[in-house]
Amino acid sequence: MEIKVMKNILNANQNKADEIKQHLKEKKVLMVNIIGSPGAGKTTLLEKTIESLKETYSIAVIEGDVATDRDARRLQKYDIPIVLINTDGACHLESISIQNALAEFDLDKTDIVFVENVGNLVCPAEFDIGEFAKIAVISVTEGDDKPEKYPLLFREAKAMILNKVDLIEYTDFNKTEFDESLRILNGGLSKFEMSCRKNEGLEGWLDWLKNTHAETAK
Amino acid sequence: MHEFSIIENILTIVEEISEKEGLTSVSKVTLLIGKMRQIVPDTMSFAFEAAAKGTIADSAVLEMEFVPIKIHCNECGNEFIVKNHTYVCEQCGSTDLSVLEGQELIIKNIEGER
Repeated sequence: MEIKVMKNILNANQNKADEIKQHLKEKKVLMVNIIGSPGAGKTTLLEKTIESLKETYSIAVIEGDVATDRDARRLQKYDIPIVLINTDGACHLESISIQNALAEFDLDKTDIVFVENVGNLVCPAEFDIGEFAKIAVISVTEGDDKPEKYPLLFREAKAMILNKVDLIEYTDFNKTEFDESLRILNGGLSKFEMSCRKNEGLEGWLDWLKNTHAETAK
Repeated sequence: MHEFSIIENILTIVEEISEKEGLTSVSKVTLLIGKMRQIVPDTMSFAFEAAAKGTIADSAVLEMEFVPIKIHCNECGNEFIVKNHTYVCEQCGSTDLSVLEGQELIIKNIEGER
């Protein structure tokens, strides 16, 4: 016999994500989900962003890591709340572990939560964790073909950071082709170019965060 | 890799429904998968075969139907199917679009014996 089901497979994850979204909205907290390849510069981006904003905003971080606490340790120097989620080999974070991590923070005293997802351009894009925005981080050394190869992330992201632009002259990265592939995938994407290591070009990104936070806090 | 996590969710739902409907075995599970989803069919089949061992869906076949990406243009109202991941209106060139179909990840039906 055939049974008609029509049930969303990721319902369990989605329901939790919706609960998180509602809860964060009530608490006026902005949560962003930072997604990029290993080595794209996600943790360095967080370091520079926290350094620039920590006087004005209360920041908390959820670090997703397959096995180690290396990224979390790098952020300890800022004396901000950090929760580490070790996924034990899993390639992405899911909303249930985010909900548990958020319970560790005093959200009444938090403005922005940064989630550093597991380094991977595929799987994290498939799972809603209740964030306000997905942020795609890519570096010029990875090549200009990444949006075309990983369309879902670049389609779903609200902002994209192109990192390590100081190295562009040493690579074959074609900026024109890269921009065009982003335009046809996601015309509404906010784009920022920077070198996190040199702390150059972060202004646009920081303004975007400030404006987005102001919208959330309304 | 995330195919394994998706399969786990599928098996949970299949077991719930089998229990509710009083099935003793499941022979086929049909999915609807939107083309925006980055699902590799071979990986899905492999993950399903591995994870279904010892469950009610032990010998079940996994069938996947893919749904094209259907877009509504918020500028001119045109509706079209996305090709080559080009999210630009074919009629007016706008990129202000809403996705109508193509994000599905759904269990369509289950076949089994009572």
